[in-house]
Amino acid sequence: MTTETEEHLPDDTLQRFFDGEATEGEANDLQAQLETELELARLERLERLGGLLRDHADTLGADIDSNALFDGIQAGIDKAKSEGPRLRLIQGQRRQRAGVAVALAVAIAAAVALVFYLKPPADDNLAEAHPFDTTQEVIVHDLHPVEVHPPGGSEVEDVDFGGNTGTIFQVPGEHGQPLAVVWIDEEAHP
Amino acid sequence: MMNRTHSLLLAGLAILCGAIAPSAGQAQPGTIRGEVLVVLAKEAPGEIDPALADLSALRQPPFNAFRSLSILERQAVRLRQNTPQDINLPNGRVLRLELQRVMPDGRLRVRVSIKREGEDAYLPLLQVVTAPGDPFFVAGQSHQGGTLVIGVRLGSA
Repeated sequence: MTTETEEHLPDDTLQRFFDGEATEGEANDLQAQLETELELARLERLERLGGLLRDHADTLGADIDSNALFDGIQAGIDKAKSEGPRLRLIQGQRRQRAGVAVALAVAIAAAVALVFYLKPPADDNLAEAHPFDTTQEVIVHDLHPVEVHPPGGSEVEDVDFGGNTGTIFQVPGEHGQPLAVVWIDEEAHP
Repeated sequence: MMNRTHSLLLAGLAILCGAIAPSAGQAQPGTIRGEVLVVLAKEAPGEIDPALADLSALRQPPFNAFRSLSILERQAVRLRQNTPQDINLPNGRVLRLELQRVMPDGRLRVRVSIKREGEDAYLPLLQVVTAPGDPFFVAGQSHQGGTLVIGVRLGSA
């Protein structure tokens, strides 16, 4: 088995020569060097290898629908393009969530409105069965404002009978309000 | 003719002034009008003064034990805050009333005392809170074979 040494031509140069892509100077140099058997042998091997690859490619190409293949490739490209905004999705997730929430709310509202719109008219008997759904007219004759009065009656907060004794009690007033009475026992003061 | 015109103008002016000026019986701002009623109550049969008919409290026990009620004194008072006012009682003692304050709920806090000059106070201190128009009573003093019942009513309901 032959190994490449430093004096050998680089494979890529040989490949370009073989493919006809080498410059004119390179082609001349290569042609001179290919005169040697070693290089010719390597070239022959490359030719055989290329033939094998072409044969294999022809075999595969016969089984492959090129249109379907390119359609698949195009679909993959389109998919990649369509998935491109994923980056924006990550940055704008909240906005999109808000948008989804608003859309969801609108959809729910529309559904509710549709339900009420399509709701069959209520039965009269049912309406009578719900008093809160009925309205009654109430006529108010007395519209005077309500007056708040202080607590009625009177009460003793403090008392000093001095040298006397006494009693504190209450009697009901005209409206039942308690009225304070201080009764002094004046035995000491005839 | 001129004198008659002047007379009409003066009469109209007088009527106008009378309408604008506060009436003589109207309380001045900051004063509370009231009434002190001194009643002589006796257990002996007698008359009940018709003027006491509106005081239903005197028909309640123990006042209903009295079969005679006569008004000895009926005095209007005008109380100004922290300004005591004295009322002479028939037995020579003096009832002193002093408006301490008008409470936020409209009730009146009043300080009451009964004394005779030169003697120890008969009733040194009584502090009452009363609603305007509702009376309170101080009873028990002996007088002319009966008992004095003092009713105090301040303000109007």
